[in-house]
Amino acid sequence: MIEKLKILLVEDEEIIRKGIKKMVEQIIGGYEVAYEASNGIEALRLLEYIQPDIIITDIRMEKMSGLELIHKIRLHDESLPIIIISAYADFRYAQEALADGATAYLVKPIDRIELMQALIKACPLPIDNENFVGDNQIIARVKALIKKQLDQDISLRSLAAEVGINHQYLSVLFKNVTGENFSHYVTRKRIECAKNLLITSGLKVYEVSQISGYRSEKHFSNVFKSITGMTPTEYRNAGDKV
Amino acid sequence: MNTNITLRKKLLIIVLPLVIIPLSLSISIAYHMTLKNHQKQSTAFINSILYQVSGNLDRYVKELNTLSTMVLTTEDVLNIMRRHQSETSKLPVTVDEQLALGGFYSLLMWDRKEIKGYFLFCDDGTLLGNTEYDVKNAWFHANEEWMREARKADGRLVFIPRNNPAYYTSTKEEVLSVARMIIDPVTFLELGFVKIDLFYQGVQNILYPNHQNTIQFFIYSNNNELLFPASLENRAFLPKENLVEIEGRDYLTTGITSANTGMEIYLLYPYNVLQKDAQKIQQVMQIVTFTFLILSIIICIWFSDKLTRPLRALYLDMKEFGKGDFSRRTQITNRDEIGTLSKGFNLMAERIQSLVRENYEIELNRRIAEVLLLQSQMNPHFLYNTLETISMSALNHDDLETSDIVARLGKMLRYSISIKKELVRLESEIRFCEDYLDLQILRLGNKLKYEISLGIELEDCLVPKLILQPFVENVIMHALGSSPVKIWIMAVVQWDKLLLLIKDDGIGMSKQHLNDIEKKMYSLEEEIRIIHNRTNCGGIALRNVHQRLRLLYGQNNGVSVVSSPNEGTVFIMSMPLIWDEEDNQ
Repeated sequence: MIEKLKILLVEDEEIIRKGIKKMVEQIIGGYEVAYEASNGIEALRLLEYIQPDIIITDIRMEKMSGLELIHKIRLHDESLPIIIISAYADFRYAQEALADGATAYLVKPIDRIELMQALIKACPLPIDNENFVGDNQIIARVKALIKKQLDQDISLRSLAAEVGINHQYLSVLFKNVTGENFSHYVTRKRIECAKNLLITSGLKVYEVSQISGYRSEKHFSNVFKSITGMTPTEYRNAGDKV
Repeated sequence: MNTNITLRKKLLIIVLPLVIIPLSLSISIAYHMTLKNHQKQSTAFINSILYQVSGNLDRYVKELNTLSTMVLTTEDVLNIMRRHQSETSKLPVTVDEQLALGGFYSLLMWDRKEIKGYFLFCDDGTLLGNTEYDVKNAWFHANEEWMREARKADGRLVFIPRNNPAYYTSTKEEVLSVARMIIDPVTFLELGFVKIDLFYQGVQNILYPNHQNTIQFFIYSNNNELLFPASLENRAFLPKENLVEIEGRDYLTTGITSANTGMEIYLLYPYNVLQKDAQKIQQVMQIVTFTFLILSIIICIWFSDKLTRPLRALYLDMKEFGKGDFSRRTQITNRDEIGTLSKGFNLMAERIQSLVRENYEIELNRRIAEVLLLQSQMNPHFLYNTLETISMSALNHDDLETSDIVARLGKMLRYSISIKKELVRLESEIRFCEDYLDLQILRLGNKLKYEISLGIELEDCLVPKLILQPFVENVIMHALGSSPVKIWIMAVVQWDKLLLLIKDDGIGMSKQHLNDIEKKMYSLEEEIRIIHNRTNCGGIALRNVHQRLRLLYGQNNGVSVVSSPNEGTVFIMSMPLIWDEEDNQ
C-alpha cells in the first residue's frame, strides 16, 4: 500500500472542514487530510511539529487570515504547496495570494474537479500501479480515438462520453498521465499530420488543412505559424530544399 | 440653382461654359483673322502679277513702236514704198527691192516668235510681207477696214483687236495686230501702212511668262476694245478691285490703267481657289475646335469626377453610418479639404461609436450595479460561504449530487455577476451553459436533453460573455411541448467567422411568431417598446445579444434565426474569430 500524501487543512468552519476531508479522502483519493486547524495561529503552531505535503487554507478566519499564514510560512519554507480556498473571487485577492506564493486559488463553493486539479498541480500522486494501468488504458484509447478522428472536429466532451468518464475528469487525467494538456496534444498531432502531408504529398494547403482537422484554412495557417514559426507554404518550400 | 442636382453636375454646369465659350470664341476669331489675312495676301499676290503684266505690256508696246517705225529710218525701204506710191497701177516688185526687203526683214524679225507677219501695205496695192505663211502679194481696200483707224491716228500706232486678215491664203488663225500709217518724212505724203500681226500665245508669253491657269488677264485699248485675250467676247467694264460674279462664279478682280499707253489691264482670280485654301483652314480649325472641345469636356468630367468621388464615398459612408453601422469609417485618399472632412468624419464616427459603446457599457454597468446593490444587501461572502456549507453538509451526508448542484449554482452565480471581462473563453461560456442546462434538467427531468459540440481548438476563442444562455433559456421557455426536446449547441468556423448555433427540435415557431422575434431583434430602440407591448413574446434578451454583437464587431455580425412549426428552431450567432493570445502561446 502506497502512503497517501498528507494535507494540512486550515478552515474555521467545521462542516466545511469535514466536507473537504471527505472530498479529498473518499472522492478524490490518494490524499489524506492528516492535520486540521481552525485558524492561522493554530496552523503555525502545528507546523512546528508536523511536515504536511500540502496545505489547504481558507482566507477569512479569526485571529489570523490565510494570507498572513502564507506570508509567515514562506518566511522559512518556500516550496511547500499551498492551496487557497476563498469566498472572494476578487482578482486583487487572488493576485496577492499567488504573489505571496500560493500554488492555487479556489473559490467557494468548491468544485471537486477543480480541487483535484489543484491538488495534482500542487503535488502529483505517486504512481499507483493499479490505477495507473487503468488510467493509461483510458488515455491510450483516447489517443487512438484522436488519431482516428484527426480530420474531424475533436471535442473533449464527445471523447469523454466515448470512454465513459466525465470530460473535466478526462482533462485532468490526461494532463496527469501524459504531462500535456489535452488541447495541446490534439493541436500537436494535427500539426504533425499537416507537416507530414506538406512534405510527402502534393496536396493543396487547404486540403492539408481539411485533413488535419481545420475547417478554416486561415485558422490552420495561424496555428501552424504560431507553432512552427513558418506558414504552411514556407514549411513546404523549406522541406523541398532539404 | 436647383438643389437636387448633384455637386458633380453643378461643377460641370459651371466649368463647361467657362471652358467652351472662350475656346470657341478664340478659335472663331483666329479663323476669321486667318481668312482675312489670307485674302489680303492673295490680293497682294494678284496685284504683284498685275504690275508685272502691266510693265511687260508697256515695254512691249514700246518695242512694237520701234518695230513699226523702223520703216521710216530705213531709207531703202522708204524708197521702195515711194516707188509704189501710185494709185493707178500696181507695179511689180523688182529683184533689187526683194533683196533690200530681205535684209530689212531679217534684221527686224530676229528672234521674234510672237510675230506672225510684218507687212508693208504700199499705196499701189502691193503687199510686201515677211511671214512663214503663204500670202497674197496684193491687198484690197475693202478687206482692210483698220486702215481708216490708222489713217485717223495720223501716224501713231493703232491696235487692231482680233482679226483674221484676208491676205493669208493658208492660215485662218486670228491675230492681234498693230498698224501705223507711213508718212513720207520728206514730202509728208501718205506712203502706205505697216501692219504687224501677233500670235495671241506669243503675246501672252511676253506679258506673263510664268502663266498660271487660275489667273486670267484682260487688256483693253484706250477706246475700250478688248485686245486680249482672243477667246472672250468683249466684256462689260470690270470693276477695279472687287468681287464680281461671272457665269455664276465669283472672281476677285484687280485692274490698272497704264499711264504710257492708256490701256487698261484687269486680272481675274477665281474666288473659289482663294476659298479652297480658306476651306482648308476652316476644316483644320473645325477639327482643332472639335478636338479641343471633346478634350475639355473629358477633362471637365474627369476633373469633376475626381473632385467629387471622395465626397461621394464620404457621403455613402456617412449614410451607412447614419443607418447604424457605427464601425463604418471612410477612406482618406488625399490631404485636401475633403481629406480633412473625411478625417473629421472618422474622428466623429470614432467618438460616436465610443459614446455608444460607453452608453452601452454604462447601461450594462447599471444593471451590474443593480446586482451589486442586491449583493450589498446580502453579503456575497455570506452567500458563497453558505452555499459552501450546504454543499459540504450534503457531502457529509453522502449526498454527492446535491453537493455538486450547489457547487455549480455557486459557479454560475459567480460567472454571471462578475464584472471583470466583457470577452470570455468560449469554453467558459459553454460550461456556464452546461451548468445551466444541468440545473434545468434537474428540474425538467428527461423532458430536456442536450448535446454540445465544441472542437478542442475553439475552446480558446473569445466571445462576449453571456451570449449563449439567453438562447438556451428561450428554448426552455418557448420550445418545450409535450414531447422531450433536445438542444444542440455547436461552434463552427466559417473562414474567419465564428458561428455559434443553438438548435432545438422543439415545437418551432409560426411565421407570425418568427416575424415578431425578428422584428424585436432587429428594430430600432423606439419601435421596440411598441412591439413588446403588442406581442409580449419574449426576445428582449435575444435582441440584446444581437445588439451587443453588432456594437462590438460591426454590421456584419449578429443573430439570425430559422424556424418553422414542429421542426424546431436554429439561432445562429455570427462574430469574428478572435483568439485568446495568451492561451495560444
